[in-house]
Amino acid sequence: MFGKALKSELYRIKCMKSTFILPLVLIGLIFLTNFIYTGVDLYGLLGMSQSDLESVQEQGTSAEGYMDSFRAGFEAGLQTASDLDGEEPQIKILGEGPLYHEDVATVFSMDVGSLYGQLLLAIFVGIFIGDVYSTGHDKNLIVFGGKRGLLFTARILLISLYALVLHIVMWLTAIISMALMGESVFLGIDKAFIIFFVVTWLLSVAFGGLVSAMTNITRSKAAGITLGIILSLGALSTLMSVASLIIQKKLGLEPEFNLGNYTVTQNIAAMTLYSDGHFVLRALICAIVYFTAAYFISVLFIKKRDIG
Amino acid sequence: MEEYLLVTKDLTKIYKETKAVDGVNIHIKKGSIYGLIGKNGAGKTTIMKMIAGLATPTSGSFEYTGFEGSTKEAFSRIGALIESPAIEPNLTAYDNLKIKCLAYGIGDKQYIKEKLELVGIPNTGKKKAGKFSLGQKQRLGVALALVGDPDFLILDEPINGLDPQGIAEVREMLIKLNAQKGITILISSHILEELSKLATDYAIIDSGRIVEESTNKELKEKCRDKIAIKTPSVSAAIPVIDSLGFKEYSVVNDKTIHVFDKVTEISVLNMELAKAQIPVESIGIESSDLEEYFLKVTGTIPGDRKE
Repeated sequence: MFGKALKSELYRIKCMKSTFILPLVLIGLIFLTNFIYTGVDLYGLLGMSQSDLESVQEQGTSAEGYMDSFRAGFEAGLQTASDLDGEEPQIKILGEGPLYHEDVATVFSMDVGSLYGQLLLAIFVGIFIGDVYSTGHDKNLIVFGGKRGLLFTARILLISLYALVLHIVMWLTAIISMALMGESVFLGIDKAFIIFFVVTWLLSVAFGGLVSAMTNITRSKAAGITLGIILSLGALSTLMSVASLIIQKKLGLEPEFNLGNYTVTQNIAAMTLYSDGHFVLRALICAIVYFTAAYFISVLFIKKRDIG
Repeated sequence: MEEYLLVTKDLTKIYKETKAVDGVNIHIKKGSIYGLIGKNGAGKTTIMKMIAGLATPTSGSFEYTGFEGSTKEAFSRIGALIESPAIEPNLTAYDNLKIKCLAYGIGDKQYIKEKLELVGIPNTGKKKAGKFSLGQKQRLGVALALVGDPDFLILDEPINGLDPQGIAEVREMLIKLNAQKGITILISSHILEELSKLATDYAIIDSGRIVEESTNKELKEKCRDKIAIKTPSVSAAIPVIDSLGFKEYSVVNDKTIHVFDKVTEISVLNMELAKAQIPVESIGIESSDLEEYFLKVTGTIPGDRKE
């Protein structure tokens, strides 16, 4: 029964144009992002010299330090510009970007953190689950009359696989990007990379679960997609910060407490290859808790509600 | 004793404060074509949804006595087209059918082609179902309902949007499926004349309640031509009717007699009643088709509404 549901839903996915268009859009977005990070001389644009860059790089050689690097680079650039005493600086756009010398794993981790994958996964899930309601698809599947939870399980499994496909597409795009625009193609596959890959994929699965739960609850593909877009754009981060402050005050928690640390998207955005064990464990628990909650809420609504 | 495929017991569905279906008891015989007649909003679709497992009854129950195993297992032997056909508009007719076929464990291309041929849309090719005419969509809906070769077909207004030729084709197809494959069919339609050409049994539903459940024979009896006599002396009139050799008559109430045979001899009957000094308020031939009968029993037009 489950196998039949999987085959049927897989065929439905195969027939959806968005199944193939979304990865192409992802390739385009990731390629563009990687071009900016590897092929555009961002430091040069800020007016930094090679020696400035090297000193800045001492402050941050990893993905974690890039923000510090940029800040320092900007300051150095201002300094260099003031040293020119009115001379027009030579602006060079193409060149070695901040990730030019990095390995594929690092570039991939940056790509995952961009949350483009989640944005497109939300659209996929919204369409895939939303179509069930807009077309009344389940009316055709009377055979699953008493086993509608099984049907949803097949759907969520395929969503998980699609999230994996998007993850792999991102990784392959990172490889191609480095081959075309980076210094070299060093994959950098080690334990940290595998943990990063698996945990961020599981977080993506949980994210897909949340979007599907919203779609199931509202029976609207627009609602699911909108939630996915809001989360992947970080539109709730300000609200989250305010809520964190209130909770800190009310419960007397430490200033480090941030609600965002317990959300799926902020865990994806903040996780790096160098995240410590505590961070990874928290991300993993978040993925499991959110996915489980989303799954059971979906099943509850599906089983309780009439079709059509 | 007749073998029932489906029996419902006080089936009730309440949406918030509205009783859509109110204690419905229907008995669908194995191999019958059961017509469900009712106005819009009478509760036909809700009944169909409940027995197809698409909606949960608020109270009451239904049992597929004609299938072996539980009701959940019976769902694998049911095909349904309820409300509008559940069609993926961006897919072809073939792909729409294939999705359902795979869910039923059928992977044969020829099977899909046969179903499309059966409903009369074999050549839609790569045309998307969303661009189909209403009739084509309806036919695709019927084809979807037929996937899995069900023993029980639930069809909610299946001839909606079909042209006269299409209606005739679907009718022929359903009669063929019923006769050759023994498929039991539950069908609702607003076109009662069309339904009367198909159905072997009927239930008339009004405001969520079954007003009448009868066989085609019984219904034809009720709809056939008859002499309706209104008299305050029913008991005195009966010997006169007997003496004239009328065999089929019934006393409807204390003022009305219906005589079904020899309706052309109404003048003779009238004369004999007068001779016997029986006061006659009115006498005339009444006839009604299924539609008129339906309107009468549901009280839509004034008449002898039955409770």
